[in-house]
Amino acid sequence: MKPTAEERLQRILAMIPWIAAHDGPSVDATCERFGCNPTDLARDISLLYLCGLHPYTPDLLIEAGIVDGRVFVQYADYLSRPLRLTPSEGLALVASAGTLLASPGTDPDGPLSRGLAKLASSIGSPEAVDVHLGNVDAALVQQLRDSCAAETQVEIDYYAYGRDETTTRLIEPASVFATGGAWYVAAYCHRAESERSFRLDRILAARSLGSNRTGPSLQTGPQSLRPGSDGPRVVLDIRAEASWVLEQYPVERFETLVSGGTRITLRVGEWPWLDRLLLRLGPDVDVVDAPPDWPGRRAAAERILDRYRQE
Amino acid sequence: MSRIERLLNLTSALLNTTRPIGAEEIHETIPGYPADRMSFRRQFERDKDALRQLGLPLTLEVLPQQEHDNQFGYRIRQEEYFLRDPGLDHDELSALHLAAQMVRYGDAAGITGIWKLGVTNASDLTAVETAAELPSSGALSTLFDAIAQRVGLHFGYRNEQRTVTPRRLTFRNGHWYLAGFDQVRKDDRSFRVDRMEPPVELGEPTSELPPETRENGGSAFDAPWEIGDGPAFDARVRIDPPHALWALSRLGERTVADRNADGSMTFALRVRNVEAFRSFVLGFLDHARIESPVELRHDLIEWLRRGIGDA
Repeated sequence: MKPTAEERLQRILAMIPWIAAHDGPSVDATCERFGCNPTDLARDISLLYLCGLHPYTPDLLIEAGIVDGRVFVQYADYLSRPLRLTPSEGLALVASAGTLLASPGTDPDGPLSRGLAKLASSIGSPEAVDVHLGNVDAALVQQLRDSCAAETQVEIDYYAYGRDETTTRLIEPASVFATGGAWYVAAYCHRAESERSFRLDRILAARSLGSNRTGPSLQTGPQSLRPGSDGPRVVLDIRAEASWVLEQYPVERFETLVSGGTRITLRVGEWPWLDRLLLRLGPDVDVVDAPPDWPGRRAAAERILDRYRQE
Repeated sequence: MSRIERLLNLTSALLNTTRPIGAEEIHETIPGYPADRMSFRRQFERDKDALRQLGLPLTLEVLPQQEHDNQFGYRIRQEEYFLRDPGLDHDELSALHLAAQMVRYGDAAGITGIWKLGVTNASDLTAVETAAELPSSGALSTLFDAIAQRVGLHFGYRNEQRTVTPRRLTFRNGHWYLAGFDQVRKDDRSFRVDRMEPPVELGEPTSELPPETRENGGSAFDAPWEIGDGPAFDARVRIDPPHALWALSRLGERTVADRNADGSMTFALRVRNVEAFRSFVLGFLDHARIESPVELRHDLIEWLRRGIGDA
């Protein structure tokens, strides 16, 4: 595919400082560094030869050429230093590097850490960004990553938060990743007979079995985390004090009530998930509509109150 | 005359000037534009867009001799264009490049920006597995810019206009926070970035800041019950197995007061925010019990009773 003028300009602007700093690098090294072939490079260099400053007399033109397999650019001082990163580019680089450094298994004194320190101080913001990906057991991350690489099975004891129960499952890990403040392993789960994501901080124990994968292979990653949208709906009236719910829960619909509160519609996966929300909201919420098989909000509250009755 | 040649000449001219250049002068001195004024205008607009897309800091300034006519000119200020060379070694640059590919930060700004550091070898991105996702938002780049430039910030937060000297951006528990010194309150504060009310604007250069107070330390995010202006309680919470292990990873070894024979653990916490503490304990459903003090137990019991209409 023929590059656009913008793409060529970008490559040329990136290349000139590098060529200038390397004092006649070889054609091969330049091509390797900038991912182009010798024909592209020759075209870019002969183009540079035609450019410069008004009125484009020979003394104001850039001098560029390829001599004996080496690349030269001269009289282009104004293009010979690296360009400034825009704030969003700088942030994205610094944040990505900080994120990878916060991941278990990354060498804290390795090239990434050194590169980040140099980059951050050159854009004037050392220690500007601080990334925490969530508590995680580094040994567990390594164990699951090893199993992804070796394509082997792992047995886990897992606490399902939404259902409030602990189960033992045979899984085949496909990837380990961090998103939304927690670490997950995406895996084929033999118990569910489908793909599932498991939060690492809810894996109570993991035993590597060494046995080979038998389930389908997965194209998986953070995108498989989107919550299911097929659970039953509940309608709640929340008082103004509790409007944080709107930001923290996947609210499908909401309308403001004359009282100043809000009527919201939520999809519910499992009842204990709804229990937690209602317990936290306490007197600040009324249940307007819920499916007929919902056990009601009293049961969960009574189970907790029971713990304070047995002195 | 090709467009790429015109773009290179335009970039050179705008960079190699100490005064702004008017559109008319550009039309006269940069070869390759159509003679017709309207067509020139259109193509010049397109070229300016291309340069801005690449992140070149094109500024618009009043022409010095024609201030009365309000005539504008363009230039790229060298001090804004050039990156202070971070002096990255090859392995450091490769590590940053890999990080930009492995961390999915909003759009692809990290990868688009890295060419300015001298990498345009856009290797096969799909071959790299995503290790983490970071959400991005428009305001984040502005906040980062303010930290790098050492200027203040103006934004709305909880229906109040704030003037804040920024210290750093922190990603924790799935959210971005800005830590900074609130100039109105004369104290350190943290702000959730996705709750800032636009417009978020850069302010005046900042002077030296007082040393940071504890408020902005890590515990503020991990232990919201510690933040508040209420009286302090020393609370003890007993958490059942296997939830105790999760609580341990979140709360840390130093909060463990007792390891009980049944596998449960008792944690000692300092509470200044009763609502946050109650919400934390209720997250465990009936797998946790507040052992002391009696005030916090009563608060929880009362809250549950009011929730089910028994109070």
